[in-house]
Amino acid sequence: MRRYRIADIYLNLYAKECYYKKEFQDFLWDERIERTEDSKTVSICIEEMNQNNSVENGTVLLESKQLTVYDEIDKYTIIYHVTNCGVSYVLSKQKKEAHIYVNGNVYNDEILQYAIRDAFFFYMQQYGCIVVHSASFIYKERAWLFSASAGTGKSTHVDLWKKSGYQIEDLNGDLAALYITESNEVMATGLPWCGTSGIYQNKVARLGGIIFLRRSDAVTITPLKQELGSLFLLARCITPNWTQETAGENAKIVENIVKHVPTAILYCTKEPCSAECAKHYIDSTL
Amino acid sequence: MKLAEGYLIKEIAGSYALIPIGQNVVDAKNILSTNETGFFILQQLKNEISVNDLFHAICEEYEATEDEWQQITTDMLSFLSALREKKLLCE
Repeated sequence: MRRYRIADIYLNLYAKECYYKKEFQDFLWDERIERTEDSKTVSICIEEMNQNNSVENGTVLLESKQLTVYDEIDKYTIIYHVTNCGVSYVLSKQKKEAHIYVNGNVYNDEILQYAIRDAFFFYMQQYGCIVVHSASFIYKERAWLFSASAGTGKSTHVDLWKKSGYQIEDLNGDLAALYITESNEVMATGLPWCGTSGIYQNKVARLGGIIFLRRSDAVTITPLKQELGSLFLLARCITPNWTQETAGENAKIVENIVKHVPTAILYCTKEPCSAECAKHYIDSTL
Repeated sequence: MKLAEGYLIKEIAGSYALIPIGQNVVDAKNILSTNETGFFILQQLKNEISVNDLFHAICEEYEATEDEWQQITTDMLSFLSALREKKLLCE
């Protein structure tokens, strides 16, 4: 077993050596540091697939081209439809524990990594944490998220900051986790999952704010009121919206976050003036 | 009539939203926002209700006078029509 600390939550990963990924290495927890008794923990076991890993009395909760989620009495079972993927997983409803079943002979490693990620995200939400599809960096000791749908130019925008010589430090190229501390500070953390960006760091910083990107011909930035900011943010969460309860949990966390940090919409181009405009706004909030 | 399955009606940070859940997320349905009255109507539509009963529920909630009935009817039907267009109403 290896223990990781991701977004203030411990991940106990039980697996054969071949299933551990290098991206997780930076998030390894140093066992010499004492943990508190009430530490938040998620357990994920990667096991060999056998004939008993079938859905018994489940109803279909949702179905996409890639997967089906079955709702059973005490668990959710996720079955992938990708050919020869050799991966399925089960999420316990009683415990924060997932079992991922892998066909050791033929399995798709990309799907396995998705399974680990999504199982962890499922339980993160229960610990009051959301995951936002965004490119993020740390600027003047605060984390800033740039969120938009795929292909809008999140990475391009972050690159503009770098090309302009602004002093930033990458947090994650694709996803960021957000949670609120007991002292009502919103924190942003890096994750070992970063899409195809290859940009990830094990860093935690106070969240400065969230900027939603929209492509435009002219550059301008508009601060959002809490009610609008919350809807924009909710739409960008990738923590599960499977049921009334999980969607409600996302909404509750989002509502708390936007009470504490500014949100804005940046109409941007691929030109450096977009970064300049965003920087000017961010500086004005500090 | 009744609101379609697979949505959460929620007030969030002062806005009133209809949030897709489950299969509706997969089907790329968007979050819809409405005003306070729209939110009240959506709440009523969680259970089967007739147009007539919905009209009375709105009038009671907002203590409408007879002078306002016509406007309420027009606005209510327009809202229901918008829901119907977005396939959010089961009849």
